[in-house]
Amino acid sequence: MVHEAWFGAVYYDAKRPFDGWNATTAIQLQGNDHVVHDVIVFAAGVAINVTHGASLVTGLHCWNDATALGGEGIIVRSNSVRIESCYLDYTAMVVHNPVGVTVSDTFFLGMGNLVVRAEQACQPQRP
Amino acid sequence: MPTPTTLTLTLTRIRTPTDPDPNPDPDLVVRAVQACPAYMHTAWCDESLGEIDGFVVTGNTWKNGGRMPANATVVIDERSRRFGTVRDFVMSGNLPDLSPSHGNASVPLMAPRAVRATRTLRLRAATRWDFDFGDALLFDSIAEVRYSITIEGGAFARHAARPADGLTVAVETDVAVTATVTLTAIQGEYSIGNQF
Repeated sequence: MVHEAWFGAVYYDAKRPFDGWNATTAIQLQGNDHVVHDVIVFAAGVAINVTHGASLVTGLHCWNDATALGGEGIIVRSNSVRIESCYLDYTAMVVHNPVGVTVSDTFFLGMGNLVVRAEQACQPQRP
Repeated sequence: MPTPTTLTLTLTRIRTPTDPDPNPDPDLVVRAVQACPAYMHTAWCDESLGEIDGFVVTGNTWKNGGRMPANATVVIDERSRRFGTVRDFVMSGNLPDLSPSHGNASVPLMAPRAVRATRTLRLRAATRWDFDFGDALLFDSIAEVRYSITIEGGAFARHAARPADGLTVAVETDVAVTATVTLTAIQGEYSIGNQF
């Protein structure tokens, strides 16, 4: 569980010029059944990358690198993920092949939008 | 980081001398061939189409602060591959930013896009009502059409919706009438309880 936390690779007043921090990911969920709530990400390339299922993300303010600067707010790459009451602040939510995914009561500001991506998996599978 | 994929563009010029087309320019075929990364055996790569099976998008709000260019609320990204299955993509209660964008008052700052759109058209003494959902729907085909027709005066007419051509749909009558047609175009398929 990650809650009531702030994430930033650098202090906000040091965000310009870039010095490599924009390739960072603030939260990487690499397991099932996690909970993230009431978190602010203010300096990162990606705010949260959800690669495993059945996680709940609520109240996440993605104030990280804007879409126009190459950032992505919330990335969902797994099934049965619930994104609720988040704030995409000039950055996008990218959902890959959604199966059982919920996006509700979320606020998209600026050019922050919802991208539904049919990206090729290219994962090693048993032949 | 996006999943590593490579896109091979194959350019092929095909000359067709027997073609009666007087245009001397040969046809140009641009083919997008998906390829797996070199380190991954082709048989292991998932070559299937993308899938949406249960995607609930409800109660969201979009607001373009007015400093950014106009853009869409929801974007379907099929640059890597296309979606095959689209099932139970449920959208409702989503609020786009309908404020006019700078320089083009007819374009909203954050244009609404959805898997279901309804339009109404009233025409006088007409036999054909054309609807274009190109600026409203997310995907590029329509799975289902529902419409109602309200004919003014005491006239009657036989009427029918024609199969969708891409994102355009037409309703026709056999005699000219003044009528209002309200038509809903729906994309994807829905399981019990999620039909509109």
